[in-house]
Amino acid sequence: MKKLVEMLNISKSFGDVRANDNVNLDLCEGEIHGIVGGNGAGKSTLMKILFGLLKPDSGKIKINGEEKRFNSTQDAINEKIGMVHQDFVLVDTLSALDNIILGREPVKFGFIKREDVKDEVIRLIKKYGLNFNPDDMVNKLTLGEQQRIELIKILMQDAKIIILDEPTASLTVSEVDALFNILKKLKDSKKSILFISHKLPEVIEISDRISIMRQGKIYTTINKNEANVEKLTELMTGEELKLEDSFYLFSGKEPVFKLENVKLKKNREVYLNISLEVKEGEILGVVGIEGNGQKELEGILSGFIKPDGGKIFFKGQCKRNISPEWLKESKISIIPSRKIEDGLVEDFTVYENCILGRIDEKKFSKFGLLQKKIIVKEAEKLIDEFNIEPYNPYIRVKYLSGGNQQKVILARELSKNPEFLIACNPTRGVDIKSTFFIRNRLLKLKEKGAGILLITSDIDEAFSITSRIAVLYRGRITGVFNTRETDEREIGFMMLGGEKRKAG
Amino acid sequence: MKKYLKEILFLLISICGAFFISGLIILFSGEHPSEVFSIFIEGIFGSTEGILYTLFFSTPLIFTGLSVAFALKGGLFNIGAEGQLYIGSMAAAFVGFTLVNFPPVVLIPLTILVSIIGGGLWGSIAGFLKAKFGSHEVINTIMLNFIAISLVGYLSSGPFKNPGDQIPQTPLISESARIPEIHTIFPAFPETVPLNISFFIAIFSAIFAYVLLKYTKLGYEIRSVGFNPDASRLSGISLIKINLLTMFISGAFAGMVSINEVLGYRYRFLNNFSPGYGYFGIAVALLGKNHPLGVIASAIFFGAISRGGLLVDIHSDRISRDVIFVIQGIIILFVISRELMSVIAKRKKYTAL
Repeated sequence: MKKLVEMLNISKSFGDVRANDNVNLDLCEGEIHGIVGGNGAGKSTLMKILFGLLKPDSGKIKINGEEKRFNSTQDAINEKIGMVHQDFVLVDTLSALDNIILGREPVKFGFIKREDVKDEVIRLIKKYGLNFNPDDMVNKLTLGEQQRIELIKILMQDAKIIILDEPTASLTVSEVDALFNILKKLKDSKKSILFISHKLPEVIEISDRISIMRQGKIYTTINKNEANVEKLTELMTGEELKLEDSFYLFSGKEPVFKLENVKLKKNREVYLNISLEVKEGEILGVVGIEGNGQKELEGILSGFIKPDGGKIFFKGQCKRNISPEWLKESKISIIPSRKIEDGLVEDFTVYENCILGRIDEKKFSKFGLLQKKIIVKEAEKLIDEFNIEPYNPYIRVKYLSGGNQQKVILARELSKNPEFLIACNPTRGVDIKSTFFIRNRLLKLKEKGAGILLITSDIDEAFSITSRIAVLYRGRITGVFNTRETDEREIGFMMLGGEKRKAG
Repeated sequence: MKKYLKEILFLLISICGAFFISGLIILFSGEHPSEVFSIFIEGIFGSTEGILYTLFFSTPLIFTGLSVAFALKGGLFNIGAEGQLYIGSMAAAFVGFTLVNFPPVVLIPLTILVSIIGGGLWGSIAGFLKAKFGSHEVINTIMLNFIAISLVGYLSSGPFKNPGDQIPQTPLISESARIPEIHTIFPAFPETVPLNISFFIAIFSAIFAYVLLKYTKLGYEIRSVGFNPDASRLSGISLIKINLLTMFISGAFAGMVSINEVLGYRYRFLNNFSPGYGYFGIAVALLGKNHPLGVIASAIFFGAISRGGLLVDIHSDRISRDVIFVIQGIIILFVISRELMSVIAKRKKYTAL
């Protein structure tokens, strides 16, 4: 096949870090090329170079065999390259169509001529099965539909080379299927796609070829038929990863934490009503499609939202609502889903983040003065124990990769020796090695007898580490299952609003 | 090291730019730019007197600059240093002219303490409103400025007015509440300069702020809330407590302006004595990069401009006061442009991604 893009000997360093080290990558016409690799392996850097956001220190980019230089994203767009970022930003209060024309409004005599564009948009929607109404407000659309708006923007620029950075990270199962159908149609009309993801089964499903990146280099490129999850994992990390499989064995009888009809009301209507129970020594998974009450449940559990009724029990003690101070006193740890916003102080160093919420411990301050040596030592201990990279307590957390940021939160929360842990999507956006590490840590904590409430949108995660799975649908727990006695089909059915068939 | 050289180079370029533009304005006013500039520069660096005057002018700006910078470290934008310094000054003056029989050892620390508490309490009103009701501190501090200015205006022209005076001012404070001028400690310095030991108190305050923020538990919590209130809250830090304390300390720094103005210079409260120290504090903090020690350098720079401007005013008939203000403004604008540019660059970066 014809090579549409060739990236030759690309190198890029940030300070001492070689993010890309002599990378060679090519993309053929009508091909979906998957790129996998751990956090910090250099995938994003490589894509930013191709999209003109970064300039390489050395190396060449050829498009259709001709050497090109990209000084800005506009240069890349002119070569028919488009990119959908992981965290795309749309204007919530505008319609889909308005978002599409934003920034290059077709103006005639000072008025916006929407209709011309609308026809084109509708044509593209039909052609590729994008399936949304361009007149809908963005805030009414699902994340999957919003992503399609981004795709349309790129297609309107007549892009032939499409870069997708972690496109499935926050999509539900059915939305992923829809996206893959679109990608196949794009492929059929000779578009070439670079697909970056952490989720190996998805990459294997959609890609024609898969490149594995490791420490800034392309380690190898393999064809789809040679790939399987185990092999990719091994190629990515250079080691075999395993979960400690003791998780079904022990589950205590005493409930540690209990919610009883905890309600939220809006306009007198109860839109959230949750009862659940976490026993000591078990991981209870709460799964559901995003938007069924996960955010609200997390808000109540972290003390940001006051419930409108119901009771909360912790070790027999009854509460009406939760406050962060109470969580701290009761030694309940929480791993928030928004790690940067709620879990870390980005501009603080690693060692300062390690004591967030632990600053009141006597050893860390004397007469109001911080005991920096002791704090740094504690941080070094955690860095060591949790393999946080780089090994440097003085680095600001914002310079760490996503997986390592998550490890900092995990390390800090576990160092509080919690009896109960609330973990919200603890491995979202985290590379596979760290994912295994984090899950093993949760299992270890559970073995020590702590109860864990795992709120996750990743069914695989629920099946790999929980003892029981509760399904959250439209603000209610519609069923609780022993993990061993159910399967993904049944849970998937329940997540879409199915009735429970058997007692759990 | 290279970074600092670049900063200094940029500073020099912007000062040259400022002199060029103000040179044009001076030409239009009918004076020789070179002459005016030499008066300006000589006024600042030409004599011990000039240098000491510069430090005198910079003293209140160190306090207000600290006030703004400290609040910003805690994530709060304190526009209210002006009101806080008035309340602190009135409180200090009141104690100073009432408790006349106290000895200096008691009265001086007491008046200083009162000014700290006065400014601090006035500041913490905004902190309380922010923490409790979420109302924005910018609006609240501005409104509290109006209230404070009216309040001290009333007090200085009403109940606390010095009987018989034509202007709204309080009686003189007791001799034993006054702090010594610099020439009483260093007799070699000229007596004409009102620089007093409040300058050293200002330097000490900056160091205090630096240590507090960097090395104490409270400072850790203040910075944590300043960077990320949500994560701080979730970790169990009480936002109400930290917002209150941040604004108290910030207001206290502003209140300490009275040490220079009331205890060290005027020896009384004069209505409207501040030419806008509180607002200048915002620019001082910006130029000092919100660093307590940077604030000292930045305040001295502002002090120098005031001193130079004053001399030009005295020496030239053709250049009016307003033109001097314009020139001062241009210099400040050019120097601060570096900060503005980095703010704009940051914003650009976000839209690019």
